[in-house]
Amino acid sequence: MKSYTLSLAMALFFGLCMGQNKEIETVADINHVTIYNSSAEIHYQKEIELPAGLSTIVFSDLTPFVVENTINIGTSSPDVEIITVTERINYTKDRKEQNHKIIALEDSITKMKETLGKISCKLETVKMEKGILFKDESIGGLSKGVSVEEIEKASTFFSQRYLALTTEQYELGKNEKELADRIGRFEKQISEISTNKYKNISEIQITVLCPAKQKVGFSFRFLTTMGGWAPTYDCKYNGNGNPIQFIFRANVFNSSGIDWDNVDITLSTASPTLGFEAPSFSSNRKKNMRKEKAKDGISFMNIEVPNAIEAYDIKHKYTIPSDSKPYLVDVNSYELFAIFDYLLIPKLNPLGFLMANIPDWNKINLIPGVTHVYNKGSYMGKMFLNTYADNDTLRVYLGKDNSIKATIREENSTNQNSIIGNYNVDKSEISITVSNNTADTFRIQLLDQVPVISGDKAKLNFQNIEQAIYDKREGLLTWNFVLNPGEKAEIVYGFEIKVPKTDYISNKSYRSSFRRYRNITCPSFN
Amino acid sequence: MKTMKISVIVRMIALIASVLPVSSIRCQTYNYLPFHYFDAETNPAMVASVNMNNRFEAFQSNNFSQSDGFSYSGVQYSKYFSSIFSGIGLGVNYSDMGKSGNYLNTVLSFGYRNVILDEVYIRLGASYKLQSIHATPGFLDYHTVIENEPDKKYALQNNMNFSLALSSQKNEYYVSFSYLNSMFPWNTSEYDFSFPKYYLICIGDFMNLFDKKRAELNLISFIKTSATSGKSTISEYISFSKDLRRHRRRRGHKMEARIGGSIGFLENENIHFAPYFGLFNKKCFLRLGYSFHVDKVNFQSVYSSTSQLGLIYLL
Repeated sequence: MKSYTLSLAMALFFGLCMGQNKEIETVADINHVTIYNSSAEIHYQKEIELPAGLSTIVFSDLTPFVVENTINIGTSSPDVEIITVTERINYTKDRKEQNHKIIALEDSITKMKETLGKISCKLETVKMEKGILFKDESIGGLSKGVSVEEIEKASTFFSQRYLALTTEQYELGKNEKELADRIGRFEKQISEISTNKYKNISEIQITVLCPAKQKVGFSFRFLTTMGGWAPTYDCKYNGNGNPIQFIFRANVFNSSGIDWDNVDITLSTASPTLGFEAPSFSSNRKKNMRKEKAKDGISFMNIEVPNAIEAYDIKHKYTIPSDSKPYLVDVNSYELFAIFDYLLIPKLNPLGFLMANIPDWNKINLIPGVTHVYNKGSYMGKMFLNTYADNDTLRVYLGKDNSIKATIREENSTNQNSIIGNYNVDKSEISITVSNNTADTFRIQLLDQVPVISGDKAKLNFQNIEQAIYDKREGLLTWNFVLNPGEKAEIVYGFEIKVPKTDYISNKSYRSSFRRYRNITCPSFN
Repeated sequence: MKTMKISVIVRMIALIASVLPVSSIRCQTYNYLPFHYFDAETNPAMVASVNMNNRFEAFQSNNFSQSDGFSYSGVQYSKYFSSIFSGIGLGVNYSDMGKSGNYLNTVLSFGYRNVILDEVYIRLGASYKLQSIHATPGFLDYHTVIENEPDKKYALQNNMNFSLALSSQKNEYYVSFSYLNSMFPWNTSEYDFSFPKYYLICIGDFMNLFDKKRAELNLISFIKTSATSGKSTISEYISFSKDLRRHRRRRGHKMEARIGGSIGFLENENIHFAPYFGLFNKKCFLRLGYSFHVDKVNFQSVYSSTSQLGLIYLL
């Protein structure tokens, strides 16, 4: 407090002694951006020649979305004392960096609107003329009759004029509609190019006290919520025995209103938007209840990230325009050892699902994100990858492969025609054949599902499931085995559902309550 | 000589039981009132039914007469085991015949059910009955006999009931056949000693034919064959009951009223009337009844009238 008072006193003294407070307006350059998942910290740098005494420096052309209390300013010279820092929005000043395409489009719209106005005038005139001409279209007078020639002339005149006016009206209407459509398209294009509707700029005003005239380097940074990033991965499988290629990229967006031209980028998983406050742990419930809102066309989702904050320095400089569009930034790439196997669920799909098991996964420390999967150069699709592996081995799905196939055959029988019995018995015999048409030996994980029986009255009896792992709760049967190239494996098992014929509950449709069916969509030819 | 004596005693018991209107004595001599489709003793097959699961029943019958007074009390409990489609029942009956003596009758019932052609529920059941009879000296010299004749004592004290019931799934329609007082094969009528045999048939519920859910109409018929004379008599009854509630609704805890009664020809000699009034909810049924007989020719009252009190409670 003492030093502050002293500084102020000195400033006033120098101000009085050394003349007027000089205002220097300048634009600083962005040299680095630290992008967090839902915010960004923009670093500026500028060298300014300061006169001796009190000066006010105004850094203009800044984003209007500066988070309060996050401005941090430093100087290269220890002699220069920063007295005050204020941030304000300048409503009188537009952003200089308007998108040229938008300007061109807006000019076109203005011209088209002018043309549209003229067309409207012409159209009005035509309508008026038609109204006057054909208002009381009687021929002749009361005293004498009209000759045939006159009638013919009048008729010709009317028909020709009517045709001309109607044609012109049609053409004008057509042009008007076309122009209106075009204006609409141009306006849509503008909104597509620029989702940022704000044209104002923000300024940071710094009052400094400089003992002598000198060149001083200023660096300052602040946080804006109009930026962010999300991870995206490319997972590439290059055949059994080869490592998995894992490419880590980030989708970065900028809607701060200021383009980030050729800047160094650091990506971070921190959440610094809480501002200049001491952090504290809040309860999990509160965290879960907090919902992110969409910002400027960007929607956000909650993902779980590890407690440890990760930061990724990007090797190359990138330009991220302020258009709220995602821009891909290369972060890192890994070659990972993986063990491959096939998951087969013949009830759902006859083809094998290639799975990669990547051990020691948690060492990489990645956060969950969309992953694009490539199988031997072919794009297979994308999925949301949860990057936390419970037992340190990540299991990644790499797509379907028709080289490993399974066919399932199910035979059902019931005892509905039995003469006497206390149970309705439904028997099923399932035969699954798995074939390996690849040139490699693969581990196979085969899954099948049996009904889950609730209550203690109904009974489920199995045959030939000694080799399978049975999950009673989910009704899952899992077989693990190895299949050599060209080899076929056949699994035959059966089960029997015994449902007592109860005294009160109708047992006619008992099967639907235990059997599980899947839904498909097919055309109906009614 | 001893055989003769037992025969006389048994006849006397039977006579007393039949003379006392008595009717609901569940000893060896049955009368109409205990006969019902849901009775664990006379239709043991029905213990293999969810209707009889955890069912407790108590009943009391009394003629309030000072000269030839008698009373009859009993309790029954039955349980159905749905996992094995079987049920059991246990009953204890006590008949106090005033000066003549008293009976203690213990009944153990077992029933099993199965399903024919997915529609017809078939039930088979048997009741084992163990009797302890105490006669007042001078009236029934029964205890003297059983002290000296162990074989006859066994025959007198042990016998069985059998039944077969066919019904729809929820017992909307049923027919049951019972054979009561069957002796064990190893002690047949060698000693010229046995109680009457009964061939009983219950048919219902006819009101379901008219879709009347809150009324019941049943037919009960039985043939009573005397073991000693071989003479058979036939009795036919119609039983009717109706709930007094107006609206269709589920049975809840609130008590509701029911009236009902039976009318029939007892052994083709008397007309038997047995009206009752009942209160019930979804857990219990309390019944107060009255029973009297008139001669079918001159409509004169025969036997002494009795009143009955019964309680059925689903535990």
